[in-house]
Amino acid sequence: MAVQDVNAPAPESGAPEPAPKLGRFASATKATGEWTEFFGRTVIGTAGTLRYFSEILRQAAIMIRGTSVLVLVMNIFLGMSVANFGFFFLRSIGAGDFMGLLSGYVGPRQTGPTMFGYVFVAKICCGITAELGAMKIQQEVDALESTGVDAMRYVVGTRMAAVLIFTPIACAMALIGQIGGVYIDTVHILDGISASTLLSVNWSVQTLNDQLYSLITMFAIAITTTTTACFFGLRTVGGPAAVGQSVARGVFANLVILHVVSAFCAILFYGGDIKLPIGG
Amino acid sequence: MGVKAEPLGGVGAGTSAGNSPGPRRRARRLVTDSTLWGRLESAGDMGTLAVTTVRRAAATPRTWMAEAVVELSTAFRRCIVPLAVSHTVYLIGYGIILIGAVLGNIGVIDRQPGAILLIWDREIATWITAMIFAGVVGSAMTADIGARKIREELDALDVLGVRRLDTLVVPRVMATTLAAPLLAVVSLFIVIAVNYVVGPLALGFSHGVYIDNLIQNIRTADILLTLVVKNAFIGFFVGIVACHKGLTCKAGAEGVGRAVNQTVVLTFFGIWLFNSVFNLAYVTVFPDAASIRG
Repeated sequence: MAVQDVNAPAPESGAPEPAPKLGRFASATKATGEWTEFFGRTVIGTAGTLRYFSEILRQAAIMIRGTSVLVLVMNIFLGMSVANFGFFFLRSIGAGDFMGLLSGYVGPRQTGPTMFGYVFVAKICCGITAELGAMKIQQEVDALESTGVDAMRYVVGTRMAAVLIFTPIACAMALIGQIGGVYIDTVHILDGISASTLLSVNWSVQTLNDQLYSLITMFAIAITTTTTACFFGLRTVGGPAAVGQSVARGVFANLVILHVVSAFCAILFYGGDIKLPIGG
Repeated sequence: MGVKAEPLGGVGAGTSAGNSPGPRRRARRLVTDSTLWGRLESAGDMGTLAVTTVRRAAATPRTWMAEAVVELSTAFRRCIVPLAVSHTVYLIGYGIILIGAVLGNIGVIDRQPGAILLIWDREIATWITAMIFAGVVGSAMTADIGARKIREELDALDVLGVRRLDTLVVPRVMATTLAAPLLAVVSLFIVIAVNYVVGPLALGFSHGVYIDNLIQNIRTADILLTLVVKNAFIGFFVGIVACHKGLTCKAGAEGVGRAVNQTVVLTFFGIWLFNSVFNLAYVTVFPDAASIRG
């Protein structure tokens, strides 16, 4: 009996400190407070992370190689969805030639940042949580701290800096993917309008400001979701099963954060002035 | 550590082992060890799992029903709050401010309710609901089944003579198949209700106009095909992928986490591919379904 107990890993049963039971709302509030504190520590950690420049480059390379193409392809799918809806809608009011208006309008403002967020959450944030959770339960984070390396700098800060390198590239990929999807769908698949009609209207509706706001929105999404992913990864307690739970919780929180942040940025940038000079 | 997944393609290696040991065998190993081959195998396994699940679910003693109801209610309770929050902020940020401004600029602001209904039931209700469904329910399901796998509970079930497919996979897949369209319909209701409260206030038309325009734009084909049927397929897909990734997850510290990660990426990719192709087919078959009446 005793031998059995020793051999069994103690992932679930042996959670170290029996914390006082909180209600659902209270624990959510507590987690929010801890998240805020963690965000502050992440900012401080990121500020001092330049000494691990090679690690930053390694993380950034992993992100760029693994995710850029996925961002492009998923944005093409979303652009096709926009084109499916918009082309037939505009044709029904007799304005099928103005598909570029719709693609240039919603691409950088709405669908590009949202789709970037989905891919980012799915690929990068999940990966970060899984990796950090595994490091945590194998006590690698403690090992780092005991050798005098600040985990907030080496583990969290480098990833955050890598995300800051990755985001502009992904932004370009997302915007290219948006117009690429619309182009493929309306010009080649539906064969509805000519390429020059689509592209000229598309680029004349978009301004540099739109793309800049798009980039800022993506930065906001990337920074908050990465912080959440690291937060849930470093909170993992228990065995390998707990890593899976952490990842699931991280996705759960990140998906809500992503929608809230992107909509908040839309209200912030376009709430007062829509910046679309049609119809006077 | 890392127990490698069983190489299912033993066909090539086994038959050619005796007569040609040289370059051909090596070339074959090169193919069967490659990432692409692994992905193809994984896709094939998922297809097998899907077909078997449907057959087992249709078999007469439908033992999965009770547990499917429990799983359905769990999925619903997990998803409903994030869905409500996401749909509400998305509606206010994009549906009312951006789309409302465009419609106002071209002078048809009173058609905003119909436009929102059309856009949401054809596209955005599926986007947000499917994303949150895959991210919340799919990942939790993979984490659950993967934890059972690495604790060897599944082997214990086999020893007891309980089929893991009937007890674990079939109820979950059936539950996701039912839960996804249900959640999509509920989220459409949420959007309509929030728009009823916020839209007339923000854009300046009356509630009577709202109701009128909304009723004129409700279409049976839209609701049935693009909301219910599409989301049922999506739910089935999410359930199959989540169960497959959970059942085949590797041992070790990162195994379950990686499995959840793969589930999320794969379901997101599949959902978007399916969504764009389905809607392309839908609007091509019903081209005038896209007009806003009123």
